Amino acid sequence: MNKSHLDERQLQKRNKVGNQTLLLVACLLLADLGLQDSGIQWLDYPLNNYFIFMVSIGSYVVRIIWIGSFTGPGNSRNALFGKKTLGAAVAILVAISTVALFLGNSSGTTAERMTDMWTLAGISVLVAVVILTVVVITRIRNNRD
Amino acid sequence: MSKNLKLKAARAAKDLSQKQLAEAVGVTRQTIIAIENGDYNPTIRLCIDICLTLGLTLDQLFWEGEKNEQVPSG
Repeated sequence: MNKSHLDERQLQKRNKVGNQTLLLVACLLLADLGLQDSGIQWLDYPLNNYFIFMVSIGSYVVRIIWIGSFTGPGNSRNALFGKKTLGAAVAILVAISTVALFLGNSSGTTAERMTDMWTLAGISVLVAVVILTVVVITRIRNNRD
Repeated sequence: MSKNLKLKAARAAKDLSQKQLAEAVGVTRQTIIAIENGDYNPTIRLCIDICLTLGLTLDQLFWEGEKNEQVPSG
């Protein structure tokens, strides 16, 4: 068995979470469509899609960290640190790109754009805080003898 | 699924921790905990690896005799 990959239980759990996340995305998008069709604008486009995306991906990441299916059994501390650093760098890049794209494409007054930008930042920070909390709790739980 | 006390006892008899057994068979410690607690049903491949590490047979570690044993008729 290749120790750098996930073991069989981890793969099984991750696949299950992935399937459930796919269904969650589908349900949330359908609910969003239904609400818009009924004339209810709960969040302006593209913030609504961003929110759905962040909730789905955030829940996926949180759940795979919680069940211990984020990294394989053979990862050394150095490799783990490298992976985490790379993940953080990619996440920051994606966040900056999203904000830049949103500001470039959005219409309206400067005040409205700033409000939307703060909402966007708020959602991102909220998801990041939840993920970090789960990482800390999981580390404490796994180190318990 | 019931707890696998036979695995726990065999591991303790070999003086192995859950982490050491996990490293020997190439899985996480959480997987060994899940197997011992009866929360996860391992594949035959993993069962064999555990048996080889502990020096026991599949029957001795994973067979639930009393529950499944039937006397063949005829």
